[in-house]
Amino acid sequence: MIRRLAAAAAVFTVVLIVAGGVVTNTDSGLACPDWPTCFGSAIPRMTGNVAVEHTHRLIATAVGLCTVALVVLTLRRARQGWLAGALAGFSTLILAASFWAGRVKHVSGELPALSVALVAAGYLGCAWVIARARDVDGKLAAGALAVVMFQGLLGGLTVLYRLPTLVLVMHLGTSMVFMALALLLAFRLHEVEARTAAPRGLLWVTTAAIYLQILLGATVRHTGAGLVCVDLPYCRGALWPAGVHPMVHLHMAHRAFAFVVLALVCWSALRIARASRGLVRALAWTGPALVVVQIALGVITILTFKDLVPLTAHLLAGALLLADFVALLALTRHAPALESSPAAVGVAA
Amino acid sequence: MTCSRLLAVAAAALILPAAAMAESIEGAVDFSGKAPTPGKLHREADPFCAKKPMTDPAVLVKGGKLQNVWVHVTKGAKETAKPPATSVEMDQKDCMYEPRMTTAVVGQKIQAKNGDPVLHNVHTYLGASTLFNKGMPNDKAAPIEYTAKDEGVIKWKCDVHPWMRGFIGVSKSGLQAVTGADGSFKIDNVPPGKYTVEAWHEKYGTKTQEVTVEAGKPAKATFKYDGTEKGT
Repeated sequence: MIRRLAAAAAVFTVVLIVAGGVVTNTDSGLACPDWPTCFGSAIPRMTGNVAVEHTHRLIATAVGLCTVALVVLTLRRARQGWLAGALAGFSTLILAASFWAGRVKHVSGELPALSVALVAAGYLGCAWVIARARDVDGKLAAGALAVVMFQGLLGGLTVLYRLPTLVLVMHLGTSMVFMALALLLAFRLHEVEARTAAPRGLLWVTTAAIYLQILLGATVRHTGAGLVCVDLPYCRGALWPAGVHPMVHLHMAHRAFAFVVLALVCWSALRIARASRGLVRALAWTGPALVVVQIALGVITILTFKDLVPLTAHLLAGALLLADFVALLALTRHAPALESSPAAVGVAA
Repeated sequence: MTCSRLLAVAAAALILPAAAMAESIEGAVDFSGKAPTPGKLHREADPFCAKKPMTDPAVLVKGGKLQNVWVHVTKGAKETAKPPATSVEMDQKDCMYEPRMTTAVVGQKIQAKNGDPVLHNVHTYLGASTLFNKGMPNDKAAPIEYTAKDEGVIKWKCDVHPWMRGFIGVSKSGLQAVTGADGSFKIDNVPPGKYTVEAWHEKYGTKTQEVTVEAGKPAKATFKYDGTEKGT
């Protein structure tokens, strides 16, 4: 049940990420001027941009509820139901304080300092719960709840502070962290002994590179640098133009880093696929295919002047690539021999 | 003269002047809050656009009056306007949309032009839906033509230059106007009757008013914004 719920949370999160992409790509981020309500209502008139923005919020609520159920089940399984109660209290404090802050900020323009202090206190409580949880599953589930609430707060800040770039980038980054946590939880019930040996150092580096590339992409998107170079494969007639605005360098860094990710993903895939079978092997081969699709989507995004479909698919493919490598991390075990020498792969196989 | 002829003449005498006596709704849009200082637009990423520094024209207030507000009749109009033969033009000049806010009638042609020697993509939205998204490589590009199909605000965006924004308010009745630099507006050819009139501003959203138009005198309407509105 816990595994299924965690898997459902991860799938919902991917849907949520796509919905968030649609919000950004249709300029719907400020369609609801207030937060957490929309025009003062939990169910506003769902038309146009309001429907897009509020659907995103409703999916986020579903993800949040899924996570609450996950925490309760995980902690009860560890006979720590009382800890779930404590976490519910701290979560209520965080949500109540942030909803109050959202209301005051919307009406008066000021963010009450007390609300910030209460949210901080709530998070200290969450940290205490995570520390007290007996098993890793409990810690992961409680951590996921803290992260999903933080994600909600960032969503509120994007509305209340009229789409600040840093918060928007953090909003996407946090959603990816949550998706990774949900996936880790979903795969944790696999027997450690049954896991495939793999060069986990390389896997970690590749996963970190994918995450960094997603953050770079989000920065490109939210600073409006997506089309500062519209020629391909060059930029303004050069491979990497000199003496240009930093936004052009940012755009080019995103393009160039895609090839670093491609190289790392291919290297990881080759090494893992040769030493594995079944699901792990399939996941390993999925990586390079996703990067190639992702690069193609990036090109199409530029050629179509950021058309909604390729632009949103570009975000989806990035999320799936990260999910792929998080799943690989969860389904493999450390193999020192594989870390030291690529030639050892054959021996391990 | 027969009785029926007399009745016809009497009816014509009543109806024709009513049509001829179409009046206007006029007034102004007041802004009572502290007008935000137009911020500098960061256009440095494109060398051509960077040559001419510009400030954000989203909120233009002069003497307590708000410019670029679309004032239009939303209820009460009995007739649908015949689309004018002329096109509404939206130009791209100095990496800005010109005009910022204008109007069109359903069925009227809208023409996008590029007056700049650089690429702009014209990305238009009605609500969350894209109407069209096409590139115009430079000032030699052929104009893009589009016929307004639905009522609402068409938002114009250039994704190459994200600060570029333009708006076209589209109505069926054609009973609409945009406030000028002095915040005033005048909607002509309004038959006597009761109307709901809406003001829309790109940052501060909508305000509505009920207006009664009587024969022989223009109706007055004043909308008030204070800068705390968070409409979209």
